Amino acid sequence: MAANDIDWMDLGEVYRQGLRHVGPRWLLAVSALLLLGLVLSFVVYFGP
Amino acid sequence: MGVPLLLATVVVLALLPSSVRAKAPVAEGTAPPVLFFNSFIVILREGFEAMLIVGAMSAYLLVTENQGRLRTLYLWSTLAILASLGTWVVVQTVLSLREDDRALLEGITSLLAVAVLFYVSYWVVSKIQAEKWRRFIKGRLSGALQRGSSLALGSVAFLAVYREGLETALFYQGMAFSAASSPAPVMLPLGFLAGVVALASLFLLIFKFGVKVPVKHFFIFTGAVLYYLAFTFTGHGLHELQEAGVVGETTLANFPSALGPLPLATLGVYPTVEVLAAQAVILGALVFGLVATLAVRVELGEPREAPRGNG
Repeated sequence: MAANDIDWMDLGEVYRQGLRHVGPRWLLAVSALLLLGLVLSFVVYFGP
Repeated sequence: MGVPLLLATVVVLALLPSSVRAKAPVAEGTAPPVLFFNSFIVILREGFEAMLIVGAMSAYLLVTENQGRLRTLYLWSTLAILASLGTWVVVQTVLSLREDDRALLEGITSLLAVAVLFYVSYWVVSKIQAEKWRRFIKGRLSGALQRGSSLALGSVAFLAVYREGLETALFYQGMAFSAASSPAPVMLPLGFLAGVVALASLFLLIFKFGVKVPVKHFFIFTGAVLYYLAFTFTGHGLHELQEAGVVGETTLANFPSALGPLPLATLGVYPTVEVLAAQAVILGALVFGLVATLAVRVELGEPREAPRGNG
């Protein structure tokens, strides 16, 4: 890919191309990890 | 710039003689809609900054044919977000364990949030123009790629995102102090959740439909909210340090306690020389920063524009 193929701050295009390379399963696993961290933080916040 | 001035002010004020101390009024809690709004804006702004940073690093890996390293970038960025949540949990835990020193810790945390705000915001604002970003990203990532280790690349990604996360954690802790005396403290987590949903929606709009975010206006508006929060944190933080007996307290007689129906304490304004002086420094640092930014632009003859493709 040439440097001009991508507008470096066109976030939509950057993320579309980037996430295509990591694969859906991997992405799902990382998203689940993030969600788990978020839920745990809320448990701590509202916990005793 | 602002941070050394603020820290110098805090040190000077801490050395004031205790004989001038007197009691300031009790802090008023933040109004529920304001608390919700502040909480919503902070996560939206900081999350979007992180999105921009990771996007810029992704773009660099793509144009340099390092697509295989994208997993490392995204994984370490995610770990940085988790570490930020962990930092906030640790701060919460430390505060709950040290009830005796609560006022002191609240004061230190609030002032730390202000210092980090000035440092991180200056860092982001200074790179708001595309060319500066390119140089920064290239400098950091090319070194990491040359070393060839995933850890080198991961640590660059981690630190870039964690510095946003640290600021966010400190800001939520600062807001949590005033939320505790608010009529509806639940507005803090509700605002956070709404902000996360808005951030996810924004990402989908950008990702699916290629929506362009007006970055400059977004940063100006949310930046104004953050500086307002820094102003209130300075007041609340110093007030807590005064309560802890660490900072002197010189009360001003006949100082108004409210601005119309709005109690001044909700803005972090307390009628003491120390608080007002520190807040004057914050305002001065803000004005100085704005003038300096404009002066550099004029000197360099740079066009007044937001980063390309997003504005």
